[in-house]
Amino acid sequence: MAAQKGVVILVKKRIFHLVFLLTLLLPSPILARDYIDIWPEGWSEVTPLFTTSIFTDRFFVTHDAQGTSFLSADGTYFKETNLTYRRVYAGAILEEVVLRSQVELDSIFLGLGEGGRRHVLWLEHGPQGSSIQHTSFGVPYAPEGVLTVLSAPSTIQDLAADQAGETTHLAWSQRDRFFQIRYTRIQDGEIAAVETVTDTEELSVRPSLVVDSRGTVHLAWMETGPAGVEIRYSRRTEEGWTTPRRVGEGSVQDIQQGGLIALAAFGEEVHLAWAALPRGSSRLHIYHASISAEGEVSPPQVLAPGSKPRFVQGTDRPELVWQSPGAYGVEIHYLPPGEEPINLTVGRRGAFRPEAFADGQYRYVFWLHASPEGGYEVVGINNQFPKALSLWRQMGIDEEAPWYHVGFLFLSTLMLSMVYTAANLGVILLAAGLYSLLQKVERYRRQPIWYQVALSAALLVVLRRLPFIPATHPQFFGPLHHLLCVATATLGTWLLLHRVRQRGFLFTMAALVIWMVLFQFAALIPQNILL
Amino acid sequence: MRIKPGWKALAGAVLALGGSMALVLASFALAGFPFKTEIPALVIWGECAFLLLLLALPLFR
Repeated sequence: MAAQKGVVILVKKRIFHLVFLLTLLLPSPILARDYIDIWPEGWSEVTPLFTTSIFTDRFFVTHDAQGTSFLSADGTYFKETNLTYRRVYAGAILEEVVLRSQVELDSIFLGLGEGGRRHVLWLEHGPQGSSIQHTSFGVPYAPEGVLTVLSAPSTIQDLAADQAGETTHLAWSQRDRFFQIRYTRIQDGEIAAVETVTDTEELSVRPSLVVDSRGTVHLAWMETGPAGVEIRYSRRTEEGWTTPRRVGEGSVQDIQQGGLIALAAFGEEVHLAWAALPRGSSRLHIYHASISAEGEVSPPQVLAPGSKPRFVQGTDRPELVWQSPGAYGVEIHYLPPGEEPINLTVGRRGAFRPEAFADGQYRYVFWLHASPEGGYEVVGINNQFPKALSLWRQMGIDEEAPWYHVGFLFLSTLMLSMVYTAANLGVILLAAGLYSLLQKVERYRRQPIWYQVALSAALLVVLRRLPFIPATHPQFFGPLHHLLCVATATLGTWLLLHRVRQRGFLFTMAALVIWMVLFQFAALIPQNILL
Repeated sequence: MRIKPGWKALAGAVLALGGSMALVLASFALAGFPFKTEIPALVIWGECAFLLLLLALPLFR
């Protein structure tokens, strides 16, 4: 008997050594990440396209049958940037043309004219002053003349434009004692007379311009004064520009960060989106308002925390993309009509300055990532070619080393659940006191074990919500997950305790502690996956 | 080999933890990975109703 015992101990030791050796050897070839990218379901892989800079407030993207066209200011020094046009087709850059090299660019514009003609505008600063230039070309690119729209020794900034057929409408902010918004249009190489839209002693900056299907030009801008920033709107009628109307409050913080008003026309309605600070908040939020055909302005609505909103081009209803602060950096969010916003960005790389267009029922969204090699790269995602999701990835498990990740997740969540249980000691003690009081009543004391466990669970679930008991809670991941956590913790506690005959204070405490550990364990799993 | 009651308890605990992890991951596989949200008021009311139901149950048995 003793010899048999010795053999068992020896075998146990060998197994222990084998397991120990495996735990040392296994991690070296297969190192699972300590977090996992949760992919937006139904969306493609994020594709890097090209390197650019952040010296202009936005890059431009448009789409037609010839492919996706980009206009960006590239370079590493703000006084020596290259205005670059690119045409991408089926994921490959077919054309890459530097339209203007080694200049200081303030703002740029790319629009599509009739027959797929590309219209490009840019505002550059030089030693002699500032100028707005225009050029247009077809596909494939062939160099054509550059038209100087405006050249002025005074400060010109914030160029905005829209292309309607063969007419390019443009607006900018120009210093004339105070900054005023000015407008003109270009048709067949002819520049119309410059019109002054604002005439105030405030600073009128950051214009945005859109032309609706009836050819009406709509303008919105930010007006900064001692009282703060206002979003203002005017439209061009046969009698001239309408009296500017206040749409909502803007933010100096947004202007400092290069924020712009997103402006889009849907039928007879014009929609505006911008970033501003809600009362009592220090974080920029996205505001949305609309203006009817009669010029009625709807009260602005706060959509979500974020900035740099852009309307998705080519849709018949307003759809927005914007950048929003996330747990590990700035994220890109997309708001489909009537649905919840979708986070399109994965991992821990900050993403910013989104642009988007619609190609039929599909959506293409682009944004900037800081490039590891320096500079910034334009990347894109779409829902036309969704990435296949493996079962592991759907569960949030690293598909390259799933079992290692599961093991790591099990151990780390278990350790964390102990910490969270200890942080809920006050809740457990109060629940134990109440439970013991209930046990004084015969009707409650006579109940079966399943009832006792369920009652302990219900007491803990309710008491942990009380604000005056100090406790730490895992993040909330939806009602379904919460229900599952409560159910598995209750079932697990019953499984572990249903054979116990002795009922007393020790049993009560054991039930409460076990339930809390199991609940925290299940509740912490998604939080730990995203950590 | 006879398993001691201590091992039995440990095996039970590992089973309970492993089982709940499997259930949670299976729910992710079926319903998609959940995203962080605010706690809806309905959930808190549901929890209170659950407690009240359990407290009322012995009174009518």
